[in-house]
Amino acid sequence: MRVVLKRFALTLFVSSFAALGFSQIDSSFVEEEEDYSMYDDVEDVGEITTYCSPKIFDLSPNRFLSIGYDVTGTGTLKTSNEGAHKPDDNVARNDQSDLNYHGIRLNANIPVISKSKFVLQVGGGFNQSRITTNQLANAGDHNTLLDEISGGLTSINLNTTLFKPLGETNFLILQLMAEQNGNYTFGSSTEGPDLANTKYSGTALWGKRPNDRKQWGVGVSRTYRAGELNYIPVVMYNYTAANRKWGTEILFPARAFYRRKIDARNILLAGYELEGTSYRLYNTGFNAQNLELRRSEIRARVDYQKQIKGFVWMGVQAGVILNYAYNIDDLTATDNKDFYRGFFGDQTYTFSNTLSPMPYVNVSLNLVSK
Amino acid sequence: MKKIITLIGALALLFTISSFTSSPASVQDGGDDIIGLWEPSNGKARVKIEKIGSKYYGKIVWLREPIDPATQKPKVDKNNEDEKMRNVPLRGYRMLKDFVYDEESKEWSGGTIYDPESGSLYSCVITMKNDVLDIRGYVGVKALGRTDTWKRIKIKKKN
Amino acid sequence: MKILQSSILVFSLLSLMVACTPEANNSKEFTINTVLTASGPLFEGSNTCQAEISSNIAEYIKENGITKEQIVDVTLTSAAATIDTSNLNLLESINLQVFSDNFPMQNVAFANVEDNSEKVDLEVADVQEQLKAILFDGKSYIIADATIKEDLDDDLNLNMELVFSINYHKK
Repeated sequence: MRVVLKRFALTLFVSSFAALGFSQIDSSFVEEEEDYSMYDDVEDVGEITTYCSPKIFDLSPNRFLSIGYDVTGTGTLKTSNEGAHKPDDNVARNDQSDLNYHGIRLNANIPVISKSKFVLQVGGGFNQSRITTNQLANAGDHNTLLDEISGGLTSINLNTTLFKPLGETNFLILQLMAEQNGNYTFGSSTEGPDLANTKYSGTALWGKRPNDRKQWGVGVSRTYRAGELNYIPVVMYNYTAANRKWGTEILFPARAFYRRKIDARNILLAGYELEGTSYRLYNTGFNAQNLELRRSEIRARVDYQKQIKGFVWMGVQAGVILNYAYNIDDLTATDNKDFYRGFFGDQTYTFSNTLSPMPYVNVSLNLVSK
Repeated sequence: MKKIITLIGALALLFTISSFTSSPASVQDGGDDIIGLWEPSNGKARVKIEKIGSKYYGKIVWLREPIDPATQKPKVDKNNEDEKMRNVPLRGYRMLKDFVYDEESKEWSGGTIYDPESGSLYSCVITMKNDVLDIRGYVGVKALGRTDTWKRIKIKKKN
Repeated sequence: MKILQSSILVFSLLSLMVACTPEANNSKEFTINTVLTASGPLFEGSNTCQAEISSNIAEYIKENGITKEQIVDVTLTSAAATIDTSNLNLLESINLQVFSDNFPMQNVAFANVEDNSEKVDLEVADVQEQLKAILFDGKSYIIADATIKEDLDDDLNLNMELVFSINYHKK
């Protein structure tokens, strides 16, 4: 028995060295051998479906969060008298004032669902135009109108965008927005915003992405960009040249830009954007009527975007605003409800106004994804 | 003498048992399931995920278009924020770095994914189901990100 | 007498201020020579070699009477690789990275290798965030991803000379 135990102990003693050596091998010291050619010929183990991406190479960064400030130079607002002015009438606009505006712009776009087969983005925006203008002597209607807008025009929106790839090449985009626009101030129940006055707009687009540098689509849009409700066709064309130096970002007629890539962190865009919506002027000095300001402008600009650090980018826009529309409708006849005129309707405007071109600058700080 | 040998043997037995139970090679880590070859949904690259130390890393081992049409040379990391690192070849580039496996949540987290197209480095979290990875790259918070699916592949055996 | 007393007071105050002012940062350079090896046979492409370097740094600061708390930052100032003559014209590129258990892996140097080069000076990265944290985080490692042009039956040895600059406060 003692001999057996002795031999057993000796065996264990020897084997402990082997265990010691084994346990001290540090598996972190892995030496790799790579033959890249072996990765040419592979077979699938997992299964996935390939979908087209919502982006192409070198598009300007997608903004998750944006805070900006917008300042214009001085333009001339010419107003007509209160009346019934047809859209293409030759209207006398005898009263004019200098006008400029400035204000903060906040926007958020959050990808609540972002996967290969489905992207759902939800966002919101807050834009405010504070208006500086001058009253005239003996210009009753004109001054009353200025009173209604000099407190500022506010626009709040909630929006959602859905990108649905239909396989490797085709896709659908659906975008919906609800806006509250007006000369309202918060905290007053009689001066809006009135939920019944919410403006709804949207776009549906079908497109193709044939390769990593091109993406196009056609669709239809219900929009207020021209100042009032319209239904228009839209064309999308995003393109990046083979040399990756330039491209286009077009969603016509809303916007069209030529893009120049200086490098991965500096981008220059040149083109235009059509901005506009319809603002409710609440309980105006015109017999307490509610009026609707149809405001639209084409912003021709150069837009420089630059990375500051990480995913924080700054944007600087400089250009000229060409005012497309600044007319006003009286909603008494429609029981304070908006109505559809479109491009061909001949309903009259209560005020037919013009606003001259003005320069502008916009500076923003953005949290982006490329 | 006999007692000494017996004592040494008993100590050796104890030591052997403790060595085997503490040996890293004997612990099966669920995180190691991610080790292997993977292909992103766009099929443009193949990535080999390996373990170094206690963390997981992914290296590009194959590119569908390995040559940069602008230079007619193998693609390099030309969009890197650091100018001095812009000649590092993309084939062999570690685009996934520093992932740690969490047994509780069954995900690989705390790592980053690098996009050579834009030169952007995103925070990243990975989950796996049935030989498919969900790779979510994000900016700051997970809500501000995008998920891509990668499938496991293997090298075909040559006859 | 009053003027003399005031002068002494002012002078004393000034001296006290100077004495209490912290001294400027000091800087020392130290070199790590280490061999990174990939055991053959090796195939064409990227091959990973690694080594632990934390013990080298810990020893150096101990020998020089510096504590971790005194160190302001650590920077890699140069990295050079000496290649065995038997492996001349084999290497395409070397990509150097450092990492530790608790801090992310970082690219710190890179070089494309010219033909017939026995010594390769790597381009050191401008961005070296958290290098100090990595090097003093328990165990830290250096990895060289060495890309070779063709298969190699033998080991690949890279003799690395890494020069670090340590900025620190004097005690």
